[in-house]
Amino acid sequence: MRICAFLLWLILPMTASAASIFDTFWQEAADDAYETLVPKKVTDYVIEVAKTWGEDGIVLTESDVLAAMKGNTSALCNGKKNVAGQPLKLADGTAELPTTCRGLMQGIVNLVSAEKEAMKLADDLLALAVASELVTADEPREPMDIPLAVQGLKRLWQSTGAVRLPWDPAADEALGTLNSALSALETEELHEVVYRFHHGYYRDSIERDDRFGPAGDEVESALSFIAGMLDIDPNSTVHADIMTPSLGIPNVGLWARADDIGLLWNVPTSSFVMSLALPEEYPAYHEFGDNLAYPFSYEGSFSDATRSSPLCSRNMGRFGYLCRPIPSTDLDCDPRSTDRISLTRCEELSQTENVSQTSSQCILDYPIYVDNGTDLYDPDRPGELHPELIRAGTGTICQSGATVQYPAGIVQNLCYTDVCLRESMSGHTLIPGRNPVLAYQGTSPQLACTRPDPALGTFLEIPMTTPTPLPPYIGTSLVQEFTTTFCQTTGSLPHPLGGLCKYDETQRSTTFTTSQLQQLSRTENEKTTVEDEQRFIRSLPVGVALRSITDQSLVTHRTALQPFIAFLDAFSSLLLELLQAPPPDAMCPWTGPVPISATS
Amino acid sequence: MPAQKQQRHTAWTVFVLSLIALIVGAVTTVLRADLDAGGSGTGGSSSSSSSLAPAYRECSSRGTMFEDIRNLDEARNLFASTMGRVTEERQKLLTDTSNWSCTAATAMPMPTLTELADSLPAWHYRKSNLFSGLFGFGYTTELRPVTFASFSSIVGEYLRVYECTVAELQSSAFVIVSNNQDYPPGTQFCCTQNGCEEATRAASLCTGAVTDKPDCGGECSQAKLSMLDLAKRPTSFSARAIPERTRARIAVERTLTALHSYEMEHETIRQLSCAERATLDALSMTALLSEAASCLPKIWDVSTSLHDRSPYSPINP
Repeated sequence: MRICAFLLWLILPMTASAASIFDTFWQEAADDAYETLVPKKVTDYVIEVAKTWGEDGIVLTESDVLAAMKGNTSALCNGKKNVAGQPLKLADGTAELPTTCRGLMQGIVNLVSAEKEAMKLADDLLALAVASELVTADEPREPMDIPLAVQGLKRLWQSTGAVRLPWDPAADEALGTLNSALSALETEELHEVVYRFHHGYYRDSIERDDRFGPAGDEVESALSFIAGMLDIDPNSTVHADIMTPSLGIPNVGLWARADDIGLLWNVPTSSFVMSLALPEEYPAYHEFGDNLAYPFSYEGSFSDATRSSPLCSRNMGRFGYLCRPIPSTDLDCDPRSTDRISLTRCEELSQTENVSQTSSQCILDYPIYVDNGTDLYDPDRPGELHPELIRAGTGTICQSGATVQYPAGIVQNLCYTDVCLRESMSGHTLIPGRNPVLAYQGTSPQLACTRPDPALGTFLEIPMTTPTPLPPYIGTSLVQEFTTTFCQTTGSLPHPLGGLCKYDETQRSTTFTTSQLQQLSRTENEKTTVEDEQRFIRSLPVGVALRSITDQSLVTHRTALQPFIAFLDAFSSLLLELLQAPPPDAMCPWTGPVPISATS
Repeated sequence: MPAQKQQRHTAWTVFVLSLIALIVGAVTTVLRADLDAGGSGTGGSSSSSSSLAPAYRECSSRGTMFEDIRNLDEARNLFASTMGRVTEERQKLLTDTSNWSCTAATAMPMPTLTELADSLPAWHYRKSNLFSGLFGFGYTTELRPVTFASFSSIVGEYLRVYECTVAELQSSAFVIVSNNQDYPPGTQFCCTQNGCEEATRAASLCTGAVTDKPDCGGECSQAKLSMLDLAKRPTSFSARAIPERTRARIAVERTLTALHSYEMEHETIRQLSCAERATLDALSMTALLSEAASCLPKIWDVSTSLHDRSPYSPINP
């Protein structure tokens, strides 16, 4: 008698916030469109920068910045003081900053406009990144997340990989506390808090980035409480996603794993600016990516080294080749330098191990266990097999009276069927020619379910590189082509280095054939035309980038999906062929009358 | 008689030529009407919509949901709410698995998007008939097919219509100001001795009831306009209209960009979801198969000439 143990595998969609993503973009676009709306961080930055203006600096307030954006010079310029607190007299006229009132106003307007433009471009870039990889980001945006879908398939086929655990209703009250804490935040604070806990509450507690303010403290305690209710353990090595209910905050989601819990944007809409500071040199580079997803040198100590990177701590992301680095090899490479990029020639690889053979690549092994009363799964480690399970010996799995157990997966079911067939056949003396499957004492060259094929690799060469070819990087040519187009449109000569030509209205070709008076009267229209063209140019990179994204994703997905489709097709054919198999005439052909032809 | 015959012959010739000219003209007009409107496209379902003016594409609010709106804030709010509803429906289509069919290529319901497309003149085409061909009017309009892939195009056309509406309002600043329509919706008005005025400005000068109607509900003949009003309010209104177009474009472009990933991968995700459902069936089937296989040794364990049950058999323990 066989006892099949089934693991609870819930396939339930997570609910999402109902608000439309357009509503979020609509709110955020107001900052870009309306000149008088200035983000607080930009205001703070302007106030800081103004302290360096002139000989003694100028003390500004938030209302001064707003007055400048509204063109209210009287409100802006009266009663100004320098950093030392002495009254500052601003002259009339249009001389440069900061000697005149109008110069001060123009300086503020220019600075705010430049910062807002930079933020807008950053948001455009973020939107493009979202357009490219949102559904492959391995974040629990059910159902639009390919890694989650693959994870589900993997579980059904192989009964391996991460499991998904249900939400414990006991944590509902704590969830309400979290909702309240999030609702109380201002927009900029919400961005900061989601950014802070994007990769997890425990990760944040390890990292302790002091650039985050106290705005997220209540959220932190709420997350801590929920983590306790859900038995989330930062040292857990269990790979399990916990299903989470939707939050009441538009576009903000809650994620939870066996080892951490955090927040995410359902659709990231705007890039978070930690702080703005005056660059000491141009171009200024600020190290600001340590807690983004991709870096692997993450601060803090993690019990599981593979989880030091946020990307590699995810349940599907950990299988990526970036998370399975090739063991260090002693390469004889020359030259080696750290301050520049150079082509390197390596004489010989000291070992031939490749990515597909590193430790994270499990060798296929689907054992069948003796059912001696031991639970199949470890009650303390959801989804993990019980460590005290005993493998059933070959030849005893399908015997009469044998009780075995194995995880419920398609492959395991087929393996069990295979074992039963083999055991049945092995107990028979078959007359050659009578049964084409196995001859006399023939046995299988190998048992695929219990040990790896010793001939693996003999006939099939394992590629040295990842089986998914990465599409060619065309960023350079895109920049060059765009620069050429941009410069041609604006009347400038293309610069050999991309991005250095600027718009110069005086160089723009004009086709005025009318009188000077008429030309002057068209100045306003001309400005409108220029604005339109600039807007076109601004949206052109978005179009180019989207096309590029599509081209590259097609290559990747075609490569990844075609083998999967072929596999499903073969499996489907196999099942359909079973329908075509002729049923036997008797219950058992060996007990019934032996056909004459069988003896010949 | 020959002259009479020739005259009759000439009359017949003129008649036939006129008839041919009429037919050619009618056919040309029919074809031209279709060409002007871009034709009906290939396939797809279409529904008639007689409430709209004949299909055209111009930068105007004519025939759109903005046609009767003369208030900038009202137009903005209508645009934002419509876009919100359409985007919400789209997101639901892309994320709600209950709408996904794995067994048949059924069209997903998109009532909000269809409703929006139906309100856009450019999403219709003129359908010619013999009457319109002969007389040059009397066309019927048909809705262009609204498919899953139409979302970006319809939204883009809606954005264009909105931008045209804002530009139209901007160019009508004087008219709008002289009708008190440059105030946001909900502003209170009242009649004074000089005309209908914003209630806060009028303060104690109100002679009639306070209302939210810019024309004071017709209680007074015209809006009160000072020289200062005429000097400042049209310019202010016009300047206020410019960023509205920018805002709409940014929001729509980012929405379409952000949904790009969902749109592009929708079919892949849907197929993976279907594969998961099919795999559940396969799991049950293989479980039954393995269940049956557990009986194989018993079935085969019968005494036949093929079975070596000797204890000395090299393969039997």
